[in-house]
Amino acid sequence: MKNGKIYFRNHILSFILVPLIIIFSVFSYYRFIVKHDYVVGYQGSCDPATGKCFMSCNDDACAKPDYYSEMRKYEPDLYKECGKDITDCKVASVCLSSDRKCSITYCNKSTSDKDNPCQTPVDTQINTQSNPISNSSNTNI
Amino acid sequence: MICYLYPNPIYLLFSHDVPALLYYAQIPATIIALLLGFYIFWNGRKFLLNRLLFLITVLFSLWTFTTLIVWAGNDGGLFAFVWPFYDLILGFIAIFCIYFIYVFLDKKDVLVRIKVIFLTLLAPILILAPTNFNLGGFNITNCDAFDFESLPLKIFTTSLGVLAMVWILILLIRKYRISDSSFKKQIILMGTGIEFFLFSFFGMEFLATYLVKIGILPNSQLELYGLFGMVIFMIYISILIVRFKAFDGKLFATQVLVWGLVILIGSEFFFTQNTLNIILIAITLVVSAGLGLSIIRSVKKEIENNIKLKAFDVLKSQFLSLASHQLRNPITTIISCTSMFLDGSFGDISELQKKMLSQMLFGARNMNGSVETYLTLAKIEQGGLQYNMAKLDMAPFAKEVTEQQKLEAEKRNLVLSFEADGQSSYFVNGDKIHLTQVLQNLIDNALKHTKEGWIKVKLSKDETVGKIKIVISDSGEGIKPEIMPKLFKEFSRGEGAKMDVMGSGIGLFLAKEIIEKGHHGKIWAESEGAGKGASFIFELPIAQ
Repeated sequence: MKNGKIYFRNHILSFILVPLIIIFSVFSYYRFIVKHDYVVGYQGSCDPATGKCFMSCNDDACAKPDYYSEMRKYEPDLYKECGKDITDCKVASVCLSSDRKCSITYCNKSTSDKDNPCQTPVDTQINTQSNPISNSSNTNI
Repeated sequence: MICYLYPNPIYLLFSHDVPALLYYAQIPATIIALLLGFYIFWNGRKFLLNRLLFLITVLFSLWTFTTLIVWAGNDGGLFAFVWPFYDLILGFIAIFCIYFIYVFLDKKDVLVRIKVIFLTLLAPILILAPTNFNLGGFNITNCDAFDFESLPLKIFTTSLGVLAMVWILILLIRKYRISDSSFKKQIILMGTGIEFFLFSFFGMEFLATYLVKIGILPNSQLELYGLFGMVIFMIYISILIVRFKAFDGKLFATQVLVWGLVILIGSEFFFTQNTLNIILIAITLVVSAGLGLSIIRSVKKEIENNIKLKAFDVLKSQFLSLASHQLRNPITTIISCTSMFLDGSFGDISELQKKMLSQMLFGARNMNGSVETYLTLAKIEQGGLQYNMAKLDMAPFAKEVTEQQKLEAEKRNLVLSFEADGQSSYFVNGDKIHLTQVLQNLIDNALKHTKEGWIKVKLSKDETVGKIKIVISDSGEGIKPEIMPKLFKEFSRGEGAKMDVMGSGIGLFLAKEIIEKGHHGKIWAESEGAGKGASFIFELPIAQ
């Protein structure tokens, strides 16, 4: 009994850390690989006519900019709606009532920065004529 | 969920999309660390220090492995699973570096309370790393974790790195102050290596991540340079193994030399196309590998024999010490009882009885001298000969020791005399008991090796060189030139072994140890050759 106690004291790090690391690994695996319990962020489609889109350029002249909103969705919901690839999934850019955690962030002074600027007023004028507003901000988070 | 802008990786780790620097920084550093860590572990699995170093290299390798998965991967689930391990491994590296230094400095495991402190420091990471405090989500557009979400935990793990550096520095400084010069050098090497590793690893990690987050740097490639700290650390570890035989890596130099040669020959395969050359290189490679293995085995055997011999030497000293202690008491009893018989304490004894008892006393005293000599030798070999230094006037001291031997000289019909060069004092700093042993040994030696004539003990002082010199010269058998180099070696008996001269062969060895190591003096012998007498001279520094 006494020897066992001494052995435990001498190997206290192994006795405590090894089970904790196993629990840690199992928990991480279950949470992220099995349950997919995390939020996914991505660039959702955005209608420039709203004037609230982020803008990114594909070349120096910025002749054909991309407009986007910043989406966040709960991974299991997004997977159910779009599968593994969201590239051509229109539902990915909107928050549905069944979505557990969902948010759409549009561009304004507080959300824009040097790397993620807002669309310019000119863009808004040009694009309003050709793209009517089709969706609005919807936050379920 | 897949990062739709990024290609699929090959074998989880390789992607054309990541910078080449990533592979140049991660792969060589990981291979070098793992190989050296495994080598050290394999050569001393029972040593905690070796196991800890191996653990640090494994943790480092796991860290680079997870980094590669994150850099090259495009699967959100896998990314999210690997992400919590990042901070966990960083925390473990910091704590196990501290643990490693404790064991390196103290040569033993740390106290339980220190281990509890380690556990307490790791607890927040173990609890929080797989939760939303570390990673809430994953951006599949830029294939990265959400900005700043893991900041508090990141700051905590970086703080652990800083804490490790400070803690290790304090431990090193404290130990450095009380260590001998050899260990001081080891502390400097180990300290520089591990501090450099921790600084580059944690510093670059933190700097790169947050300079990118606040927009100063375009990407976090800077953190990759931090990995070279591990290579530097491993170089320092290698120096410690080769120069100071640290980690019990006795075969290290031979193995590195042999396998380095084999790798060098093997690398020629990449530069030759000619079939004949390929065959020749293959033969050379096989022969070199075979010879190399045989060299490693013979060096290993040599080392094992050496270890066994050292163990036997320790046993011999312990036996010598034990046996001498056991002999001392009965001899003292014999000497005192015989002396009492001789001085009439137990009544009158006949002349014949007196003669026999005198011979008995002479033999017992000789034996006592030998026991004392063996005990001193055992103490020297065990590194425990103590000196009680005090100011000692050599003139009355040497005269007294000479007088004690006069009776023995008269029995042998020899003239034993003492003379000093007429100065007022001859003070030295010395241990009276050990110096008596030396002078008695030298006079006794002269008595044994002189059949007729004289023995002179001369004392002189040379203020210009600050030395006091004692010369014990005789008109005896002299010393042959070929004997001279072996004279002061352990168990060397010179010509005494061939002649009928009693002696252990360690008297002169002890004299040299006591004079040169114990008193910072010098001892030597002079003789013009066989039959021309000999002089034994020792010098001691004048006391200030």
